[in-house]
Amino acid sequence: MTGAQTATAYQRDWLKGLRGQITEGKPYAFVNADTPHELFHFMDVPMVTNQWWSAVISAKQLAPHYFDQMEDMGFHPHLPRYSSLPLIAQLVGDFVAQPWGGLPAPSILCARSSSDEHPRIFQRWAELSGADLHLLSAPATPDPAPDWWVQARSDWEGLYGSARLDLMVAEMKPLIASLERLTGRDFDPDGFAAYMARIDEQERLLDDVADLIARSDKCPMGIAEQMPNVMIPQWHRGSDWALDRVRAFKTEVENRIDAGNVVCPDERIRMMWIGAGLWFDTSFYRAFEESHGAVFAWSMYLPFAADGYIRADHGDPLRALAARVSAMNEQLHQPPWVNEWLVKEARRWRIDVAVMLVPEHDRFSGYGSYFAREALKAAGVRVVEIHSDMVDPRDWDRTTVEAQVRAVLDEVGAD
Amino acid sequence: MSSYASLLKAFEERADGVVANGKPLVGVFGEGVPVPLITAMGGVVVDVKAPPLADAVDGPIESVVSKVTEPFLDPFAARFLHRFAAGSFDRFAALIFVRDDVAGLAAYQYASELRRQGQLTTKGPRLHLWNMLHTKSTAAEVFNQAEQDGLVRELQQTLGAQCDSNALSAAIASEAARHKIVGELPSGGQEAFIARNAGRWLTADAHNDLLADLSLHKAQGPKIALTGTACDTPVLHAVCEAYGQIIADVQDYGRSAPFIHSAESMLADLAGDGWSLRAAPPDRFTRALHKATEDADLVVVSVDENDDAFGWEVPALKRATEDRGARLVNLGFRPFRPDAAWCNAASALISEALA
Repeated sequence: MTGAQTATAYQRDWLKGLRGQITEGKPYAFVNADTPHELFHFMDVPMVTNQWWSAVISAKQLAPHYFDQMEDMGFHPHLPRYSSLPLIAQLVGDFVAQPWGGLPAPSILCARSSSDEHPRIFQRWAELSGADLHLLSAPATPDPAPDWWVQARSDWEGLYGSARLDLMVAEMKPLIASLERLTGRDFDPDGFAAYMARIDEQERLLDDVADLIARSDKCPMGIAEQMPNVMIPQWHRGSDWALDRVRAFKTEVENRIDAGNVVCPDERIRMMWIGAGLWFDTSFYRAFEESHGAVFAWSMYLPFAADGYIRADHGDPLRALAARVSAMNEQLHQPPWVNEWLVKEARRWRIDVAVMLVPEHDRFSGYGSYFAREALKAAGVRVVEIHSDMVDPRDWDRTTVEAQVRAVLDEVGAD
Repeated sequence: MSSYASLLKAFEERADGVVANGKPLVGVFGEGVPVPLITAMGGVVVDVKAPPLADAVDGPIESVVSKVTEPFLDPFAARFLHRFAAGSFDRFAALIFVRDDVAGLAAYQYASELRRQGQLTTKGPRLHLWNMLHTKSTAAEVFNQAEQDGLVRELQQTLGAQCDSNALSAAIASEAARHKIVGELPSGGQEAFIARNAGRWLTADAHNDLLADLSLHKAQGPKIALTGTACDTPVLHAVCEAYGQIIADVQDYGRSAPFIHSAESMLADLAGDGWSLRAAPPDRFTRALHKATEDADLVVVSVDENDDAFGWEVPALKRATEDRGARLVNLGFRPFRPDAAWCNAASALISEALA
C-alpha cells in the first residue's frame, strides 16, 4: 500500500468518525481554509472546512445542480463558486442527495475577510444556522516583501507588520473563548506551544520532501499522489499520526529515488499545476505522461507547507499562528508575492511548463494570475492558461484543454 | 458660467480638470479616507477612482497594463491603471487607496507592482494603502488608530506639513457644511447626481459656493430606490426620471459619504459607515440596505459583472421588498459605460415593473 493510499484510508475512517459525531449532534465548526484551524484542532472541536466540503460536493458531480439552483434563487451567475457551493447546497436543502446526507447546522463559524465574498457567505451561514460567527479582519500588507518566504519563517514580525499581528491575535482571543465555552475546556498555552512546535517539525519534514522531489532527475511522485500525502497530514497537522505519516512520506520518496522508481521513466517535460486542485477531474494530472513524457511534478500544496506554515514562535505561539494566518491566502494570489514565489519554485523544481487555472468567478484567486504568467514567461517557463473553475465543471471542456496543453508540449518537445 | 455649468464641468473632467492652485493634489481611490485630515495638512483631495467621462472614448490603453490585467478585474481598477501608467496622475503628490473599496486593493497592488518591476516610464506620485477597518471593536479601533498615525506620517513626508488641530477642526466644519448643503439637494435626478458628485473634484468651499444658489427640480411619482455596485454616472437616474422619483441611491457614488462629527470621532465615524461593502459584520450593510429601501415602491438592482459582494444581498432584499407589497426589478449586469441599448432594456424592465 502506498503512503497516499494509507493516508486516504485513514482519512476515510476519520471522516466516518467525524460524520458520526456530527450527525449524532456533536457541536462542530464550519470554517474557511485560511482561518486558524490550529485553534479548533487543539481544542478538539470537530471542524469541516468550507473549501474541502466544496471539493467533496464537486467530486460527487453535484456542482452543476447546485449552481443552476443558485441562479434560480436570484444569485447572479458571476458570484464566486469555490467558497459558495456548500452554502448553496445548504440553502437548497436536498440533504438526502448530498455527501454524508448533508451537514447539520454548525455550532460555530469562522472566516477571514480576505476576499469580499467570504464574510457575506458566512453571514448567510449564520442566518441559516444561528451559529456563532467569528470574522477575522484582513487588512492588506501595504509593503509586501517580494521574497516573503525568506522572512516568513522567522523574521515575520516585520514582514506582516506588528499592527496586523496585534489585530489578528486580538481577534483570535474571542474565538478561543468561544471554543472554551463550547468544549468546557480551558485553553492551555503551554500545551498549545508544544502543539505548534510539532506543526513546525511536520512542515520542515515536508520541506525536505519538496527538496527531494524538486532535485530528483525524474519525478518520483506526481501531484495526484503528493496531494493526499500532504493535504491529509496537513488537515491533522501536529498530531502524532500526522508526524508519523509525513516521516513515512519522506522515507517513501527517498526509497523511490534510490530505487529509480519514477512516475514516468520517459520523463522529458516537468510541469507545475498552478491553482487549487481540479477537484472534479483529477485524472487530468496524468494525461500527458504517455504521450509527451510530461509529468505534473509541482502543485502548491507541498511547497506551501513549508513557506506558508513554518513560523518560529519566539516564545509567543499565538502570535506565530497569527503570522501564519494573517496573509495565508494572499501569498498565493497577490502580487508581488505570488509571481515571485512561483518563479522561485519553478526554478527550484526545473519546471518547463506551467498550467495555470484562472478561476474567473473566484476573482480573489484569479487576481495576480497575469502577473504570475508574465513572470514565469520571463523566467523561461511556458504557460498554459485555463479559464475554468475548481469546483464547477460547467465551463470545463477536457478535450479542448488537453489540446491546449498538448500544443504547448509539442512546442517544448520540438525545441 | 452658471453654477450648474461649473459643476457639470468638474463632474465631466474629474481629476483631469482639477486646478491645483499651487497646492499638492492628493488622489483618493474609494470612500472612507479622512478627507478633512488631508485638507488640514494642505492637500487638495481628488477622487481618482472614477475616470473622466471622455476616458471612455479616448482614454489611454497602456500595453504594460493590458498584459497584467485579467478580464475580470474591476473596471474602475482597470481604467485607473491605464491612466496611472499613462502618467495621468504624475502631477499628484500622493494617491491613497481604500483597502475596503472593492476595487481599491487590486488598484493599489497592481500599480505598486508595475512600479516595482520598473514597467512605468514616469516616477509618479507616492502610493499609500488606507487599511482602515469598517469594524466596531476595540481591536479594530486600535488598528485604525495605527492606520491614521501612519497616514499622518505619510502626509507629513509627502506634503511637508504637520497636522494642526485648528486646521483639522476648520476642515471638518467645511465638510459638515458641504454635507448639509448636499443633503438639501433632491435625492434623485441627473442634475442632483452631478451636482453632488462634482464635489469629489472641488474643494468643500468651492463646492458649497456653487451649490448655494442652485435650485433643482424634485421629481414626483412612484418612489424608486437604486441599489447595487458603484455607478459613477447618472445613467440610472436618467432611466428612472420618466417613471418616478428616486428616493434613495445607495450605490457607491450615489450614497452619501460618512459624516464626520469631530476630530475626536473621525475614525469612529468613518469605521461606522455601514454602506461600505466590507463593513463587518456584513449584516450592518444588510440592515442599512433594507432600511434605505423600505419606503420604495420599486427597488432597482444592477451590478457590475465582477461583483463579489452585493449579489449575496439580492434574494433577501427581493423577499423583503415583495413581502411589503413593493416590487424589485433586477437589471442584471450593468456595463461600466452603459450604451443606449442597455438603457432602453433597463427602461422597459422598470416600466413593466411599475405597470
